[in-house]
Amino acid sequence: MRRTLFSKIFLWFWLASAFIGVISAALSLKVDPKSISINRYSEKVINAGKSFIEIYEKDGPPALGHACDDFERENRVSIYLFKGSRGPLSGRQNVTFEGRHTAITAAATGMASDTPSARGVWYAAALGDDYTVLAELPPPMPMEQFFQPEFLGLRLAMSFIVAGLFSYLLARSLTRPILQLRKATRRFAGGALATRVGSILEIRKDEIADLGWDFDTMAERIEALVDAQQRLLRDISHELRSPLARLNVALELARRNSKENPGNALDRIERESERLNELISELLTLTLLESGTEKIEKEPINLAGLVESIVEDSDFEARDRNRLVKIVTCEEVVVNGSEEMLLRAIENVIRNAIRYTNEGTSVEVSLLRQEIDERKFAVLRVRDHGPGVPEAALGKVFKPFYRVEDDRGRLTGGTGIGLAITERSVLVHGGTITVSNVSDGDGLLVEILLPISEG
Amino acid sequence: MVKKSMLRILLIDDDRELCELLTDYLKPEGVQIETVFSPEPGIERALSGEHDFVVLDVMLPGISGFEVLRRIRAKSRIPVLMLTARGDDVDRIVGLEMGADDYLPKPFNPRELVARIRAVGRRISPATGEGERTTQGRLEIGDIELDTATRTVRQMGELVEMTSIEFNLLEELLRMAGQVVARADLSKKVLGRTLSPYDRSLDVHVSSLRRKLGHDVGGIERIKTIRGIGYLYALSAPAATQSAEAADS
Repeated sequence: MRRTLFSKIFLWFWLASAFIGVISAALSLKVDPKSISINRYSEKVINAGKSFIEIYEKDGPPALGHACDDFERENRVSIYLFKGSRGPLSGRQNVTFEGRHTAITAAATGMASDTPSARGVWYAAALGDDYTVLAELPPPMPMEQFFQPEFLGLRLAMSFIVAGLFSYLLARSLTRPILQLRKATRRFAGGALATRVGSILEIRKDEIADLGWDFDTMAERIEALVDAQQRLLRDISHELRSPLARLNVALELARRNSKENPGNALDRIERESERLNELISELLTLTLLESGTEKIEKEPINLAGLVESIVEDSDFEARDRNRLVKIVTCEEVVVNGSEEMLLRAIENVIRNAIRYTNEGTSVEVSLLRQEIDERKFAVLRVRDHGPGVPEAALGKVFKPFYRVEDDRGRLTGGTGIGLAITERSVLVHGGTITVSNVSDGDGLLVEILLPISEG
Repeated sequence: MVKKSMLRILLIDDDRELCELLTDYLKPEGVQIETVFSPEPGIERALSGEHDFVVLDVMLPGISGFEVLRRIRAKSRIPVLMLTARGDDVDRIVGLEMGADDYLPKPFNPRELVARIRAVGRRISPATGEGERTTQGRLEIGDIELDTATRTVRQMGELVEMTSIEFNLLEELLRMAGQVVARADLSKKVLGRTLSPYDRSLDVHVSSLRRKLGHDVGGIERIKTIRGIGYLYALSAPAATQSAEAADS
């Protein structure tokens, strides 16, 4: 079982308070030990007293004395018979003042009476006809004080149940708001930046509620920051596009006006402006994806068909540069997702592979169905025959603008955001993406796992 | 009538410098261009009936481009091309659904703009004659009656309002009724361009056709999507009577 905070608090408090319950039950017995003795002996003493009356009336004091001695030997309790304030009737005088007083009180009230004595407790009971029986009862054994048989089970059970109930309530009242906070935190982390917990914790006025308010403050700030960043990026992109739009028209005008030199330079300007534009779009896409606010409309997608068409297109492009893209295996797989996002994601990976694979080699693409931990996945592998990536840098290739070698990117094109977009898209689809070097040091393997929807 | 017909275009965009550059660029292309920088006068001018074509920027000060489009569409069927921010799929889909004929992401290559304008413009004035598109006649399939001369569509005798692109799309589908028309062919003929893999423009136009004409005809799907290939206009067997007037070559 997972050791949750709930079970920890619950079990510890339960144990602690049940233990306290047991001890205090025991202590309460120790405070009043005479009741144990009285409970144990009263019946016996009264019965013996009644038989002593008969003996006394029939055979006189000496016989009574013997009977008393017998009783004392048997039960280790000294016993005396009184009549009114006279006694002990056996004629023995070893009764203390307290004992005598107890007997007289019992005789006077006609009820049982008790007084602490040096050895234990004086107990006297009226027997009728003015007779009173008095006994000096021994205190209970120490262990008996702890385990009084009659009520122990009930007391322990009660203390367990009551302690359990309160511990449960305590643990729940402590952990429930924490669970709610956790849920809110997860929602927030998942991109729902408008998540707040204030209303959930409103009734409380403790540290956890404070934590909740702090969470809200934090969430508000983060939301504002993310909003501001997004708005800024949107604005920048828009503002960059206006001059680009003008540049494009001016470029065409220049092209038309310079008939004598239909130049390379103008083509170059056009290409660079196109590249700039692409960079802006990708930056925007990435911001949208990272904020997690872009809702994706999921529909069933024939991944095999998608991969085939991407491979076909990119193979066409790669051939210009004396490289190939080919499909090794392609199984029929349908996943739920946004076709456009998946297309971009896969295209980026394949483009990247073409960029780095050595001249004359090919990029190998395979699509398989696989079952991992009883969940079905579509596994897409893209492998190139290039230099690979240094092991230390493997984790960084999904970072925007990260390049393994500084000069490489410029030689081979690409905006530097493609793989970052791929990663985000895959994550949004509930999948994972990993990169690794092929073991023989010949190329890079990118593996994308996408969950397959059942039904 | 001049051989190269003067297309009259209204450009509504608040970027004055861009408007100037485009005016310079489009003039030698045989396009007469009028530029308006703010939405209100833009709507007024668009409804004046003096233009063949409207190019409308989505981002306008005050009233959004969509609102401008809505107000133009309330009164006129003049072809409208929206300039959208690139990558903003929502913008372009919303634009098309609100009755724009096509869109062009900004920044654009002006050659592309001219091509788009011509693609739509060719059809709006069939009398100016560039051959292939001028096949006059009527098409009658099922409950739909399409007249290419007057560019009107009637369903059970009732006039159905259509934008220029919707009309062209329906015409293509009706001509090929009962056969699957490839998406690529359709977009080339109707939009005058090839679609990138995730361009949904054609689908949006098809769905607005479905909305206007009803999804079913005689109990079967009117325009069927053939996944991965294209569309099929239902040729309901008993009612199928293709007008003989539609000459082919």
